[in-house]
Amino acid sequence: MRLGPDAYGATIRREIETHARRELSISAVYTTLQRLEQKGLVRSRIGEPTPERGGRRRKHFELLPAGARALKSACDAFAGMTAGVERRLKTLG
Amino acid sequence: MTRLALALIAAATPRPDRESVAGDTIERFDELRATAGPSAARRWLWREVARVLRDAPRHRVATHDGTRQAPRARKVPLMSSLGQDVRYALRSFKRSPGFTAVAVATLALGIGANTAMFSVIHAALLRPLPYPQPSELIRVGQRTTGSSLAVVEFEIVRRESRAFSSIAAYRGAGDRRLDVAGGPPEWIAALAVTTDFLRTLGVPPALGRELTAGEVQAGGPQAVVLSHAVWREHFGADPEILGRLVALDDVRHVVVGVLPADFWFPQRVDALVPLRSSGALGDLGMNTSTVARLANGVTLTQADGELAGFAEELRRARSGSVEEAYQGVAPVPLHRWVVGDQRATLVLLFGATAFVLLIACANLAVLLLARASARDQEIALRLALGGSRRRLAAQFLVESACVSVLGAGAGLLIARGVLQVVTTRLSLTLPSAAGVRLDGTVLAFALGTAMVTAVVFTLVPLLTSTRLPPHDSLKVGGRMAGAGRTRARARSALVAAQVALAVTLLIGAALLIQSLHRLRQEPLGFSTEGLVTFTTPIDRTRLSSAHVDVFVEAVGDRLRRIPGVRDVATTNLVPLAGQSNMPAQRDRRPEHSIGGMEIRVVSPNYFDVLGIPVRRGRAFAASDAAGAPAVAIVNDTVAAAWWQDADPIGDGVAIGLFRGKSLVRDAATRRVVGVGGDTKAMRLDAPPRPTIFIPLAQADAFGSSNLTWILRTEDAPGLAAQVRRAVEDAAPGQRVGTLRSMDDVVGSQLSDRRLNASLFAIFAGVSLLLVTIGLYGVVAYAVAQRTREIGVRMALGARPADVLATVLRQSLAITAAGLAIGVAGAAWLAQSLQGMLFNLSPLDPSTFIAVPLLFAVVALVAALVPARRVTRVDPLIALRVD
Repeated sequence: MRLGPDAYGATIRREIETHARRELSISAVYTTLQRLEQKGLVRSRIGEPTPERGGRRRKHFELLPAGARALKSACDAFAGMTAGVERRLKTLG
Repeated sequence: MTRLALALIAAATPRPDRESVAGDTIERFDELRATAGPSAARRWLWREVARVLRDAPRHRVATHDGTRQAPRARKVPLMSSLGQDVRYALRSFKRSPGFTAVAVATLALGIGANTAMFSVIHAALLRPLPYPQPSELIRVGQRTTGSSLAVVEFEIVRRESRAFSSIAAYRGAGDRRLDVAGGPPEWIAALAVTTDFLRTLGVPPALGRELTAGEVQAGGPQAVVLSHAVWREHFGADPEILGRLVALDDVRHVVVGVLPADFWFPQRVDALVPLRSSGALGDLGMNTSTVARLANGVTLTQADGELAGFAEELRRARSGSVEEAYQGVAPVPLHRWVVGDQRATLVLLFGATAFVLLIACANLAVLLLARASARDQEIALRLALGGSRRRLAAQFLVESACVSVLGAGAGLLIARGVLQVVTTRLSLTLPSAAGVRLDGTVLAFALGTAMVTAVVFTLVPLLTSTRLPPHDSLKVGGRMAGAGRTRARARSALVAAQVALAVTLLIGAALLIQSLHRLRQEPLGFSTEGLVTFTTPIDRTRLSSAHVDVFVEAVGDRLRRIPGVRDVATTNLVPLAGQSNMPAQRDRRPEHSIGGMEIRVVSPNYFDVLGIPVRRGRAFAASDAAGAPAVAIVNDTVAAAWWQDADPIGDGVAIGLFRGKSLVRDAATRRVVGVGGDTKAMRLDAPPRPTIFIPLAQADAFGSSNLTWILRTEDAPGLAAQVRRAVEDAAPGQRVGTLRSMDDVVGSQLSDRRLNASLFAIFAGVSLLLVTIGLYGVVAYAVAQRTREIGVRMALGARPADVLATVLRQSLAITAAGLAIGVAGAAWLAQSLQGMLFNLSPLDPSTFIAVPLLFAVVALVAALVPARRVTRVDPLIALRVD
């Protein structure tokens, strides 16, 4: 979602690695995206070949409306569960 | 390298995504190279390879699921759930710890013992000698006994033979005293060699050259080749060592060469000195070893034929100082001679460990079969729910493989332990400085065997159980009639096989142990009580006989004064410490000649100190001194051979005389004054040899370079130090050998046999344990399976005793079958033990009866314990069992 039209394998991985603060294999990224695609939450398309990647094409991923809805409900659920806990976590330090 | 990594990643990725994945990887790599540097980028790349290889299977699954439409049972590639299977396997091991423990322990014992023994055998038998073209190296020895040559035989072979490109002789030259500047003298082991010794071996010296023909000739200059260690330690690796003079036993030798650092020889070599045949008495003996290299294109058989042709000439050259049975000399591959007696032992021990491995595999198989039966319901359930046979098989295979790997791991630890024990106790001269190592090939073999067993015995029951219609086994009380019977039969056959193997090992162990025991009981002919012995090497070229007498008296005097020392005797060789023989003949009776008469030079109290009875006549006295008439004492063997029942006293013997021909300058006749009891000569397992004793005071012609002292002691603390001091006082600078008790001297003869017997006993014990466990398991399982049936029978009025008998009958039948096969097998194999047994027939009836009987009793007990549970079965509960 954050990456918008620039969302393809390498960038998605970079984004996750930055936020999760650990290294991730490209296969794991593709696997997850593939499953999301099978569930109809994202859509993939093959892009144009680019010289930087030795002429290899990129596989772009795009969030579908169903996916956006699923994401929202997941966030809400998480927010509901963590409500109030955040304050206490701060005191624990 | 990066191309390789990329190729790996691409190969692991499913085809549809290959291109984009490769592109993504390149992008990231370039990014890292720009920001963090090329080496960081490379490290990330290889980490990525590892991660991709781990995650690729799931990626593949996800891709396939996307492309397939029908939700059929997925055809899942093997690799995809390897991790899953391993985890499942480990979980199921935790659920049945008993099975796992027994299976792993069983395998560990079998694999461990096998690997260790094979490593030893590989190092000792299979590794070639560390010389170039070692298969060309030959040792020439006596055709009949393989023992060493006489000098004259060597000279003839060297002169006449065309079969060898080079040939050299060598003989141990004892310890020589090396005078080191600015330090106490060192004693180094010298090897007397002829020229071409190093050339024959194919080992060039590190410095200088080897001895020349001129130096080896009588009267030639004294030259020496030092070992690398001596050069380094005592001469500081002086590069100018060549041409320097060093003193060996006060004789100046020119250093002409230095041996390479990695020089190896079957005996310790610190220096090479010239081997000179001087025609002295010592050269008559068969004490010269020969090494030769086959000429180009000459085979061993051809060399053998040529040497056989020299027999007549050799016989003549030895002036007939040979027995009728003399057949000349023969070549033997050097490698075989170096390994020598140990070959038979090692092969035997390896056979024993192979048996243990087989028993272990059989045990594992039995365990797996039982487990398969227990899981029939689970298997049927999973199949009914849509599981694929292939997945199931794969999963069970992984389980069995895990057991094998765990077993092998534990086995490795055991192997290391066993190797420690074996290499410190076995006195092997191994042709490798690295010694014995854990052998990778063997471990792989043992692991392979275990795996094959595991695979076969997992698949077979699985195949049988998956063929049956599932609803049969899902029924209450699901027993699989057909498959169950086959499995039960297979289990019985395996247990019987184990019994057979184990009983064979037990019989072998029993034979070896009995043999050892009998050897220990052998009468020595002398008493070892309180006796302690040590040697003082004497340089006869420096000390004349008169000096020796003074030396002996001075030392003896001081030794007697040591508190605790009751008596002191002297001789050239104590019993069981070696041999020293020469031709001898009865006076005026040339037909009474012995070629290898043992000669013992003794002090007058020798017989008394050693407790050797003097049957006729008298022992030596002080009056048998240098100028007095020459006397001798013969032992029972000589008396029986030459005089039978007549009295030898007063008759004469001549040493150096053989069949009327005098082989030495003056073969003086000695008058026999006594007949002494027989004692063991060189070996405990050989009969006593004919021996003539001569008084020390009259012994000048027999220049033995060794004087052995025997002390009869009582409670003498700190004896070793006091002995050294006594000798030092009497003769400063005199070398003193290690102090040993006579018990130790005798004991060292037993050490090899003791090791064999112990190892065999351990193997036999382990296999007995394994088989007992196997039997126990089989009976326990059978009882558990038939609980319902037993309940029914008891409800119908059968007595517990009857039911017990039925259950026992089965296991006893298996045991009996196994015993029968085992005894037959043992009888067949026992023949190969022939050479190792002392005073015992390989088919010793008492052993062949007692061992199977003992085994039967053990088997009975092993079966009885689980079977007794049968008698406690409550029919009501039994009938309710699912």
